[in-house]
Amino acid sequence: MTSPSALTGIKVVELCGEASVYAGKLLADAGADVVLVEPPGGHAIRRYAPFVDDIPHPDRSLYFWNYNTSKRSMILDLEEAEGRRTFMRLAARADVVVESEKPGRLAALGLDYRDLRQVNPALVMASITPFGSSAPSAQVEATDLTLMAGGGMVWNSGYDDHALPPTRAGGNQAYQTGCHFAVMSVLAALLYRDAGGPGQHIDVSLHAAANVTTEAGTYVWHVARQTVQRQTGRHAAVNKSQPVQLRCADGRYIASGPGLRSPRHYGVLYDWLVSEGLAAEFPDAALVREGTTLKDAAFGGEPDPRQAKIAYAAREAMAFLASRLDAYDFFVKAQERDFQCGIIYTPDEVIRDAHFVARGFPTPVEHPELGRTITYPGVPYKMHGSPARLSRRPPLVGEHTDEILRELDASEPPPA
Amino acid sequence: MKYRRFGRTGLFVSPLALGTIGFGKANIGASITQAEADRMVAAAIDVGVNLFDTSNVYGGGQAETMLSKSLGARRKDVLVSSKVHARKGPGPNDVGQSRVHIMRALEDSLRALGTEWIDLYQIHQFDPLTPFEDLLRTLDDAVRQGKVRYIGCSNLPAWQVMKASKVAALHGFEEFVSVQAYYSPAGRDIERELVPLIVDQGLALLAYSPLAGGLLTGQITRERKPDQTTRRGKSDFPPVDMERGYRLIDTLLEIGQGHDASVAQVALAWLMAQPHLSSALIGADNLEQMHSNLRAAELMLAPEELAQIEAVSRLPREYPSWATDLSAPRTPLTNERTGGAAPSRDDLGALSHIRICDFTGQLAGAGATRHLAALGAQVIRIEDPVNQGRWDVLRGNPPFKDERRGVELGGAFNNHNVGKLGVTLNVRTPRGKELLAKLVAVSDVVAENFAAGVLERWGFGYEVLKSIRPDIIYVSNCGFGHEGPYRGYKSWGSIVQAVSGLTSLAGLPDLQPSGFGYSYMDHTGGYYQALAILLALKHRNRTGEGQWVDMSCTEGGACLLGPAVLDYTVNGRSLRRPGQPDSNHSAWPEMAPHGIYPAREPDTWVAIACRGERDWGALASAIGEPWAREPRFQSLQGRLDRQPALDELMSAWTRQRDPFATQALLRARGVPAAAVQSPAERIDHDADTAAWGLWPKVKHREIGEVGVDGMPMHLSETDWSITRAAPCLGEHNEQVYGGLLGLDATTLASLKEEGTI
Repeated sequence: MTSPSALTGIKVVELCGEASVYAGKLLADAGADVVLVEPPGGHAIRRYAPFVDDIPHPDRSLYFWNYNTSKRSMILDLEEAEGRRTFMRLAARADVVVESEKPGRLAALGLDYRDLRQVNPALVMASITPFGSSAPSAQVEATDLTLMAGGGMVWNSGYDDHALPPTRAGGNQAYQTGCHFAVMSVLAALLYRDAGGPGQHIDVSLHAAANVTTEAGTYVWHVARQTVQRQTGRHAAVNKSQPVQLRCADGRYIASGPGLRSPRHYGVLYDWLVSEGLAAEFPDAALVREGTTLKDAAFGGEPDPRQAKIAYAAREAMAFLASRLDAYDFFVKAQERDFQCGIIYTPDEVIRDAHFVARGFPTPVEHPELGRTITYPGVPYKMHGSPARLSRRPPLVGEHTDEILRELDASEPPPA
Repeated sequence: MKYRRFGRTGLFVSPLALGTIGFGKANIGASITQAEADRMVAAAIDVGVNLFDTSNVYGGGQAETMLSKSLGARRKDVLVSSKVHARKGPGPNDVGQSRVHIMRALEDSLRALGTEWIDLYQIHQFDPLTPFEDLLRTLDDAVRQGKVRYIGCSNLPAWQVMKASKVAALHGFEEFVSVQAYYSPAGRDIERELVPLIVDQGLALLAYSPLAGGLLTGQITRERKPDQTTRRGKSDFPPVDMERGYRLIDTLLEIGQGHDASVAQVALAWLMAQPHLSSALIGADNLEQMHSNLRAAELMLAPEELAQIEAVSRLPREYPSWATDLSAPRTPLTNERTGGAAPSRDDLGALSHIRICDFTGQLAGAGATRHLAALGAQVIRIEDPVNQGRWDVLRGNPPFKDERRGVELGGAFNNHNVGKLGVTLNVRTPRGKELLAKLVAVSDVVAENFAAGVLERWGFGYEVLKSIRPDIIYVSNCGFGHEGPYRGYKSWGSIVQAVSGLTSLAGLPDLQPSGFGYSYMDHTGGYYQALAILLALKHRNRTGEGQWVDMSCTEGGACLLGPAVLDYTVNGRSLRRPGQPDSNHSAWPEMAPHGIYPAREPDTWVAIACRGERDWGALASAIGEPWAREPRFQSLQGRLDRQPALDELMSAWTRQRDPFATQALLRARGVPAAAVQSPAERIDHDADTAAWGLWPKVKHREIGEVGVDGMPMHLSETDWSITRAAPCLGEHNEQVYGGLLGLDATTLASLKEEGTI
C-alpha cells in the first residue's frame, strides 16, 4: 500500500496553456486532482512534436505527455455559454485554478478572479502571464525565447567569441521558472487558508521570474555596478576566467570544478596519473607532485610564487587525463578522488544513468491504448512521507469529460 | 467577521465598529431613539462587532447612558471606548485636559456607562494648555486605578503623538496605543504623516466618518447634489472638495454595480483593504443603514478595483514624499518594533505561522528559505561561530559594495539571505547540541543543503530530529541526494546542470555546449526545496505527520527537459547527433524564423520568435523587403527547410537598427521580440520590472543600502515582503536564544564566553 501524496484531496482546475502547463503537472504529481480544461479538439500543445513513432496525433504528442502526467482532461468550449457555465461550476468546487490566458480574456468571458471569487471566496487562483496581468507590457506577445532574452537569462549564456550570438537554453526554462513560483505561491496560499485565511489571487510575471533567476548577472550589478560577460560553458563574469569544459577521449565533455582545493589534492592527482600509467607521459607530472608542498596558506592567503605555475600544471594534468579517458570513466574516477566535476550528459544518457536508476527516478508509465510502457522522468523531490509520483498517464483528448460532468452533478444539490 | 490586531496591544477588534454619535439628541446627523439604539447594538453584536465607540458629549451627553442601556449584560463581552476634552459645563475647568477635569469627567463617564472600566479612553483633541507630562500622568493614574484599560488619542497631528510617546517613555507612563482619525476614500489626509507613524510605532488606527459625513452614502451623486434634507447639505463636515468627491463617487458607483453593492459598501470595503486600519467606525442613522454598512465586511475588492479607487482618491504628491519616493522600493510598510511583522493581521505573510530552523547556504539552499521568509515564515539561519559562518563561502565573497571586503560584506550572501534571522551556534559541542535540540523542538522545519551525511555526523539525522519533535519536517538538498551510487559526490550549480542534461541543451550547432552561464540549478534547486517544504507542511496539516524529504538537485534538473527524455525512451532518438545543440532554434514547437539575431552595435542582439503564419505576415510587412514576400518563405515548412538562408536574411535586416527599435517595431505588430537585455537595462531601465517593484532595497548594517532580487508574483491577500537585509553573524542571538528559547542574560553571556554561540 502506498502512502497518499501531499496534495491528496486538493482540487485543481487548470485552463490548459503553454506557459502554465508545468505548474499543473507539479500539482498533479504531488497528488492534487487536476482537471485539465481543453478547447474542443484538444489544446494546441497536443500538436507539438515530438510524436510517438513520429506520427502526428493529438494523443501522441510527447511534448503534451511530458507536461500532463497525473491529470484528467475535459473539453469545454469557453466561447459558448454552456462551457462557461460548466467552468464556473468546476471553479465553485475547486481549491485552485491555474491559467495563463492573455490578460483580459477571462474578464471578457466573465471568468476572471473577481467572477470566480463570487462563487468561491476560498479559491486560490494563479494567473501566469508574460509580464503580469496589469504590467505596462501586459498585452505584449512573448515566447519562452523572448522572455529568456528580455529577462536576463540569455545575457549570461554563450561563448567566449562574442561574434557568436548568446544562447538560450532549450526546454522552456522561462515558462518552467514562472511555474515554480506559481506553485510556490499556490502552496503558500493553501497553507494560509489552512490557517484561517481567505482565498486569493496570485499574479505571476514570467519576465520577473526570469529576472530573479540570473544569479550573478543581477547581484553583481546591484552591489558593484559591474556587468558580467558570457564565456564558453562557464559562469558569465566581470573578469575572464579559465575554461572549465574538458573534452574526453570519446568526444564527450566534462564540466570541471574550480581549481584544486588543498595541497593534499595535488598528491591525489599525481597518484591518479600514476595509476593510469600516464605519469611518465605527462611532461609536468613533477610540478603536480610539487603541489603537495604548497602551504595551505597559499589557498586564499599569502601568495606562493610557485602557485600559478603549479595550478596551471594541475589544470593541464586534468585535461590530459580527460583526453585519455572516456567521459564517464573520468567523471567517476575524479569524483571518487574528491575532485568536483560532472559529465555533460544528454537527456537520454541521464535517464539511463546508474545513479538515477538506483534512486528510482526513471518512472514506467503504462499506456494501455498503445500496449506500451513508457519511461518518464520522475519527480524532483523524494518525499518519504507523502511521495510525489506520476499517478496516471497523460489523458487522451477529453478522456474524462463525461466522468467529471457526472461528478459535478453528484456534488451539487439537485435544483429544488 | 475577521478580527484585526489592535496595534501592539494583543487585542483583536472587528474591522467595523459602531460609533454612537447619533445616539440621543443629535450633534450632527439624525437622532436615534433608545429603542432603535437597542436594536442596532444587539444586531451589531450578533454579527460580531466587538467595539463600541462613544464620548462624553455625543448625543448632547446622552450617548454613554444610552449605550450602557443597550449593552446591558453584554457589556463584558465587548470593548467600549469613550473620550474626554469637550466642554461639559459653564465653568472654566469644565473643559480640557487638566487633571481636575479629566478625573471628574472619567468618573462621570463610568457612571453614565454603568461600568467599572473603560477599555479605551481617548483624548478628543489637543489641549495646548496642559503639558503632556501632566496629561499622561493623569491618564497613567486612571489605568493604575483600574478605571481605564488603554489610552488613546484623537485628532492629534503626528508630531504630537510622537512627542507624547517620547514623554510617556521617559517617565514610564502608559502610552497611547491608538489614534482615532478622520479617514475615508474622500479624505486620505492622514496618509501623509499619521499613517507612517502608526505603522512605524505599531499603533491601532480607528477611522471615523468613513463615509465622509454622509458624502459616500450613495444618496449623493453628481446629478443629485446635497440639499437641506441630507446631512451633507446641512454641514460641510468633514470638509471635502466636491469635484474630487464626485469623481470618486462615479468610480465607487461603477465598481459597486459589478458587486451589486452600494457606494457606501464599496467605500468601506476600500477602507478595510488598507492594512494599517484596525477598525472603521460606522455611525448609521438606523438599523437598516447599519446592516447595509456591515455587509461591506463581506465585500472584497479586486486589486484592479482598488487601483481604480486609488487613481481618483490619492493625495497629491507633496514634499518630502516625492523626494523619498524616488528611491523607495514598492514593498509593504512594516513595523521595526515587532521585528518586521506588520501591524495588522491582514498584512502578515501567508507563512507567518511557520518557523524554519535553517542550515542552508550558498544559493541552492539559502535561496529556498529566502523565498519562504519573503512569504512570512520566520527563518532562523544557523551559522558556525568557529569559522565565522564560512560554511557558506558566499559570506565573505565578492561582489562587494565599494570594494569593502569581509565576512559581513558578501553581496551574494546578502541577496540570498534577506528577511532571515541569524544566530551563531557551534553544534559540535554538547551545549551547542542541547541548544539546537531546543530550537528544533519549536521549529516546524529543518532545512539544509550540506553534502550528504554532514548533519547526521553532528548527531542530527532525521531519526534524532524526529525524536525531538515527532512531526518535524526535514528537507535535505544536495547535488546527488542522500541515497544512491553517487551519494558522496560533490557538486555545485554547473556540475548539477551538466549531469542532469541541462548543459547539453544550450549551444550552437556542432559546437561544445555553452550551458547556462550561471548556476540556474542553484536557483531552481532552491525553488524545489521550497516546494518540498511547502508540500510537506500541507501533508502535515492533513495528517499530523512530519517526514524526511531527500532532494537531489540533479533529479530536479532532469525534470526540466522531459520531452527530450521521452523522445529517447519512446523513439530512441538522442540529442547526441550532428547539428546539436541547436537551442536558439525551436524544434518543439516548430517555429521559423526563431533566433537571436545581431543588432546594429557590436555584441547587441534581439530575439525574435515567429509562431505561425499570422506572425510571419506581420513580420514580413515590418521587414518590407522583397525577399520576405518570396513564395519559398510563405509556409512553415518552407521556412524550416531554408533556415540557414532565412537566418542570414533576418540578420541582415536586424543589423540595421538598435535591438530595442526592432523590439518596439515587432511588438507593435504582435510578434514576440525582445532585446537581449544587459543587467543595467533590465534592472535600471525596464518599465515592467520597475512597475512590478521587482528590486526592493534593503539596508544592511555593514554593507549599507543595496538592491536585491524581489519576487515574481504578487499575492492579493498576503503579498511577499522583503525589507530586512541578511543577518550579520549572531545578530539575532539575543532575540532567538533569549526571546524565543527563554535563556537569561547570564546563560547567554556564558555561552558566548565559551564559544558555543
